[in-house]
Amino acid sequence: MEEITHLALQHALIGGILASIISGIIGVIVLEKRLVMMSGGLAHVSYGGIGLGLYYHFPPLIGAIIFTLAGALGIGRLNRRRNETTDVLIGVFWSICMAFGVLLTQLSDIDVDFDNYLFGDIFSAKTSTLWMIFGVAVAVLFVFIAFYHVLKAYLFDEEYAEVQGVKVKGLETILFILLGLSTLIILMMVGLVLTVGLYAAPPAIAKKFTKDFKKVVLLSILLNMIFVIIGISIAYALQIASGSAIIFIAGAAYFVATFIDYVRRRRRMVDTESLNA
Amino acid sequence: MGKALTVDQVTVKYNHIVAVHNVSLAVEEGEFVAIAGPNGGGKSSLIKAILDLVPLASGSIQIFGQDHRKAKGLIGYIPQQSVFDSKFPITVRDVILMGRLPASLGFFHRFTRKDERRVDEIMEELKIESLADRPIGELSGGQKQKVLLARALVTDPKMLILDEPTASLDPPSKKQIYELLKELNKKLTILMISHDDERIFDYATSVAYINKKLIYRGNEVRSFDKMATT
Repeated sequence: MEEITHLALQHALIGGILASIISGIIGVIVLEKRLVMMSGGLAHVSYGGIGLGLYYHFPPLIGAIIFTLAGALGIGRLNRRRNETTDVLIGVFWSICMAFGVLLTQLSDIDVDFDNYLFGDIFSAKTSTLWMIFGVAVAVLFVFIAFYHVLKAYLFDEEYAEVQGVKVKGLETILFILLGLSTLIILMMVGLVLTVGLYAAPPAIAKKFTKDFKKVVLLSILLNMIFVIIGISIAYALQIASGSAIIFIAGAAYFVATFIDYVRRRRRMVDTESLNA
Repeated sequence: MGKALTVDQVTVKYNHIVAVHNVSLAVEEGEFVAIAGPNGGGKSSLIKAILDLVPLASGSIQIFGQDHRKAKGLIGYIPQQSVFDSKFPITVRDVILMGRLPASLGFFHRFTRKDERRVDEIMEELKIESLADRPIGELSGGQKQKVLLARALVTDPKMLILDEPTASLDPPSKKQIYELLKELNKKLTILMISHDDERIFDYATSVAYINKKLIYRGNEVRSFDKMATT
């Protein structure tokens, strides 16, 4: 790994904080709509596009964007039907696209550091990448604020929202496009193998401590920021990949939160038992 | 009085499997109709078709004289409790407010003072105003059912459609919900699925027995028992 400079650290922190906003909001949607499997699939599908870019000498990011968006809309359609084959199909797409990407990368004449894609390399973020992250963050925030009430209804009780006349399919298409784009951003931060962790852990922790939707989202964003900043600092100090450090912190926090929650519940149970006794 | 609902030769299919076959059914304004029939007999599918949640393979449905796809807002819907996630972080007030969402994509929608006031009125009417700020997941089954009822009523509908509202409730809560519905029936037409609760026939004014096809429709609300066994 190349030495991480001070400027790279600055870029990483700016990108990381913006990405925290994205994954905080999208993570809540992923968690509530049970899209963890789908977003894991999307992260891996993107590698097909990266391989294609490397082999045909066009920017791998373009390939990744095309593959991820196509995957998001395709898998989204499958998800609507929700039967036992959905899981299988996501799994098959997941591995086929990954295999396709790896195959093309190995056949290409470029020497690629796989680690950067697998475990993230936020330190190599260029100014143009930061602008892209900024753009997606603005889009996610805009959609979240513009569709706040409809989104909440959709997440809580999709069927009722539809009965009410809310254009659920339109909303879902917008959300899936955002999910695709944000998965790409998270992937740059933590790598495609670890993406799911950053989606799932913060909102899951947040839900243990508040029962208010708005607070769950804000707390997820805040937790993301904390994990990302600590993770990036550790990665900088030890000169290691950003992804493993960030996800390790997020994972550890999840288990600590689960433990605290468990202890609190037990104590409450004991309290009510002694009251009843 | 006019027709609240006209279901005309409706067939519903899922992947070529027929769930509802050629059902015609009319509901007069002010009726309280219980839909009965075996599990998997197409009761829920028929309701989903009326609510435009599943497409019709053939036939047509009219709600107060309008095509059912354009009749959003005329119907208050109360689903089975199992369809939504009780752990979702949402308060009772916000669940009920959902009933005031517009029939659109809801771009930059904000609830008005009037929406809030209507929610307060309905909560008072159903005596659940003390629950307003509680998360939905902390409520008992009977309380949850009242919240769903409030969400349907806040739309100011002309007809209520309920999918087994009393499943999984204890007998006193069931009775309470039925009494409430009976009271509401003075103003509203009610269509309600009931799987195996005979008490509903003390409240409903007529019954439709459905097993893929419409087997019986009439006021002899108790006679369907025999039909179920033949």
